[in-house]
Amino acid sequence: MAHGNQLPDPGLYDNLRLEVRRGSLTVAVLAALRVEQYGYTLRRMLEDKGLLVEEGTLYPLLRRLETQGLLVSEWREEDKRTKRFYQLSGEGARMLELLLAEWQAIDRSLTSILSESDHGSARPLSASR
Amino acid sequence: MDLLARYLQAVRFFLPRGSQDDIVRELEEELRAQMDDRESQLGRTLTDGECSEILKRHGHPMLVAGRYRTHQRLIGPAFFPMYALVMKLGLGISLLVTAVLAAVAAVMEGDAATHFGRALFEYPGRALMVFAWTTLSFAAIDYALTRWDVACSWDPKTLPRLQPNASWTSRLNSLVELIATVVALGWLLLVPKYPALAMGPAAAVLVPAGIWTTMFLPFVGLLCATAALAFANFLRPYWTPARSAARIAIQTASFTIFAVMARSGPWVTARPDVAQQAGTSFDRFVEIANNACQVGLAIGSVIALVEIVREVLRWRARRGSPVPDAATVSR
Repeated sequence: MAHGNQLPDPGLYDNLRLEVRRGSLTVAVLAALRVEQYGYTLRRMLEDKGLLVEEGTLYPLLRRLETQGLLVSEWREEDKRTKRFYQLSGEGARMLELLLAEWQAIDRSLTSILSESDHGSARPLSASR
Repeated sequence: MDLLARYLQAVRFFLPRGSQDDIVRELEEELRAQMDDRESQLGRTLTDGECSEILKRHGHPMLVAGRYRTHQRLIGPAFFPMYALVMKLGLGISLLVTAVLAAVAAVMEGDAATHFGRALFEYPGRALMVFAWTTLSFAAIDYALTRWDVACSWDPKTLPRLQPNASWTSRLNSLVELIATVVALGWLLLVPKYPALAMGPAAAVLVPAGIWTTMFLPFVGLLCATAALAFANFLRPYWTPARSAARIAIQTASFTIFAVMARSGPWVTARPDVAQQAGTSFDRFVEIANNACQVGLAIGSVIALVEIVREVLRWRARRGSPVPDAATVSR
């Protein structure tokens, strides 16, 4: 799909990549918290699945989602340490369903757009100038 | 773990008061878990340097705490361009006012170096006030519109009508006219107290005639009307028949005032204490001053007449301009 051999500007790529990932992180966190976890294990789990999240991003997000009523949390002692466990609330589960449907709709749209350009229905840029 | 405790104390300082304990407790758990993991990998206790590395990777305490704040900006991207423009205008006008006041003081009291030097030290304070009020005002507007979602209640039907390309006026010209008129108004209001502003050194021997007192308020009214029109043109930089009519009315009033004054001499007389002692040469000086006033007033009335004719011609030309459709506007 790349036009020409020029690599994109790394700074621009990082910014755009962050924008793409920012939207998907909320869905990923809600999906992961269908099973109860605390912050550290959640972050490790997302990392293992290929979604690298900084703790400075994750914890404020968890608090925000809890304030919005999508998560519930409680402090519990485990392994002689007090940890805060998070889980999806009822409203959070319903929100996750809606967001997943939205995610799949976007995926279908994007697949359709890409297959259209792959099949040559759209004119290449050089021909349009 | 002294380093960890100090780090958490630093983060706590910047956190919202109500949620400090909760957030710090959670952060402590996260960081201890990271340190324990690392110790398990190494099979030993971490050194201070290794602990420091983990804390550094976590982030500066101020930045970490900042992410927990709900209100992340003072002025959002929607209003920032307008804020930047208003700030530049405000700082520029503040500089102009400071310079004008220094110039006026220098003319009236002499010693220009002292007055301009003082102005140089006074400007930063004024600029700071402009900055503070502008920032506070826009922060309040941004907060109000975000919280109450006022922007979503706007009606497209209230947008200004389509204007022909030829009817757009220069915002810069309007702004310059506004500033010049306001400066002129300030000068006029100071003249009764400081006649030297109008007559220069001659104020020591001459006084304005009674006609100036009679015509003072009409002049002030004219300048206020001109400033109001310039402001309206700045806000809505396109020609309208109403504003053209207003400009013609203002110029007609100007012409009337200048014409009446040009026929109502004398315009200056000698000061009573000077007239008694003065000789023939001083009478000649007063006559020259009055002739200069008459010529100036005549020129003023001619300029007003020319402006009336120009505005009438502009009206006739723009009234016939076709109004563009959406396709023309989008090109």
